Amino acid sequence: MTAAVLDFRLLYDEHVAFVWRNLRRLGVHPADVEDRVQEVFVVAHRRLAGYEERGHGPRAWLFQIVLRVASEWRRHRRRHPEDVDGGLAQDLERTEAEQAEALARREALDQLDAALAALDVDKRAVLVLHEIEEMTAPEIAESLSLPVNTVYSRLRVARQQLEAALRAQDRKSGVDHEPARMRVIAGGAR
Amino acid sequence: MSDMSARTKDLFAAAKLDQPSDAARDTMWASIQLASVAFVPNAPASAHLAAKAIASSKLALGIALGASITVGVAGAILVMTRPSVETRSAVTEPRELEPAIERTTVVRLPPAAMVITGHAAPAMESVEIDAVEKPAATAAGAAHVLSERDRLAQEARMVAEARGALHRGDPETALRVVRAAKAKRGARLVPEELTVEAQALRAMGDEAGAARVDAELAGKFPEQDLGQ
Repeated sequence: MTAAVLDFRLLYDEHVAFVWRNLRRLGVHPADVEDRVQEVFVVAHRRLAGYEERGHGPRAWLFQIVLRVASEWRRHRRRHPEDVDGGLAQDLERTEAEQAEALARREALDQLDAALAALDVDKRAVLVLHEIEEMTAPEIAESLSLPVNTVYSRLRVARQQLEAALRAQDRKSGVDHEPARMRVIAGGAR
Repeated sequence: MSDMSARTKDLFAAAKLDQPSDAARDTMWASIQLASVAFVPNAPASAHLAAKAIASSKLALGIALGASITVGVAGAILVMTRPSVETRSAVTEPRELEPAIERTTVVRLPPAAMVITGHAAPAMESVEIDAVEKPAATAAGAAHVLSERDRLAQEARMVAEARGALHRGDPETALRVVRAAKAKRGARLVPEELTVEAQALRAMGDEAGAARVDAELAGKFPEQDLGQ
């Protein structure tokens, strides 16, 4: 597939969820994620002519842009830590509209994101690409311009660190997460 | 995967299902279309045509509804689809990811865009968006400027879309779109959104819900008369 035949709308439809998820897992706040998704695709559109298919589809290419945009967002967030209301109004509206199951899943995602935040971005990127996006080590290596062995080693360490972060969360909250409950959350529709 | 607990695996399973809603997808796509054409004047002709098609459809809708807001938005989109001499000359070099966008395009919503169904814009003295044409250091910075600049136009577009859905006899879509518009941070067309929300609820037979929204409108914006 070349840039000439790559339909941009198709690219958007097929990968907007991928972009959305990874921006969230890389720490972009829910209130800002739509703007950042837009930013990723604006950059992608501008660079479309330079896109070359290397056998893994456009995800590796898009993820490079996602990484950059998420990094920019984190820098912006450090300079401007909170909005006037901290996004509270929007959160409240969203919460009111959500059903209990969706709320439970959102809590689960919040736990995951909090634990992922304990990892440095290099390891976090490898982990989410492998465990959530189910990308292979060679795909991840291409996405992040890394040797494959480095992908494996980062993955191993990232898993250990994530487990440790989740255990620390549990100790802090005093909650014992039952696997059965979590399976219900993971299996429901959002 | 063997060194991960069941809980962690379940969290990842939940994360795999995380995705934007249909309304969010549509909203983002509309913004991307505008932004892409505005930023890349020599974009593929199909992109320009798509943006012009949006403008044309909005214009037609505006005529049908007699809603001057739609005409204003269409005008704004047409302004954005017409590349300036400066921006055209700025896009001659191959681009790198880091240096990103060289120039942004001037986008100025005409005052007409803010006149909603024949009434003055509600509680929004400075509704005209000023955007100075200036170099942008990074893609993130430029796109951020664009998203700020486009926020009001996007919201107005969503209100117009909701009105169109109402006109077509599709109050469910109208309600979904207008509530999405109202939920956006910094929403500035809340009186119009509440009006459309009440109309949609009424069209769906939810008189009690419509009355609650009417009461909210009267309570929050007592000076507004939006011709319900």
